[in-house]
Amino acid sequence: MRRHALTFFCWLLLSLLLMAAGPVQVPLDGAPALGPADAPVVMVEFIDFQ
Amino acid sequence: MHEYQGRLRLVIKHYPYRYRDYSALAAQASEAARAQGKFWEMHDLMLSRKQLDRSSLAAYARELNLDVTRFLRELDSQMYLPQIKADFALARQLDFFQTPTFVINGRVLVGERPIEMFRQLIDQALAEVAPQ
Repeated sequence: MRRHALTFFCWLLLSLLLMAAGPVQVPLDGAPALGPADAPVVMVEFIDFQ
Repeated sequence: MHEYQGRLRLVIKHYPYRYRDYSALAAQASEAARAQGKFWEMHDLMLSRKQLDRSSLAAYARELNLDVTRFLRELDSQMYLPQIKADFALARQLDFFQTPTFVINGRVLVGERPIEMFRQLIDQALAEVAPQ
């Protein structure tokens, strides 16, 4: 239980740090994509299939 | 995606976990399928079936009516590996260490999260870019 709480806390802390770091720019050239190129919202997913 | 038709673009970057047996192979398989116009079909098959060894990937390619000879030639020659490595390097450079990691108009979301959280972030991003 304590281990889960600690894991969650670390994850939360990291998420907050990432959010506080400001917008992240991801170069998208040539990556597989769905949806129009001029869509106002772009969601990039870093994926591992396994 | 349907819900936000025309307003949302989903882009995939590869971040194969280094110590898993088939992560890098599966990433290359998705690109080999993409070369034959079936990236998303292969993406869906790999995520649902979960078997990612070479012979399973070949079976998926057959199931998707890909040119299997070409698919395996590209897989075995690792022709898409540099591209996968470039994505991997990018993820490292951005200090990402977990998959999936999402970036929604610059905002980072780590891990598998409830759909409501995605809706909230997408709606927020749409509101921010809407003309005043």
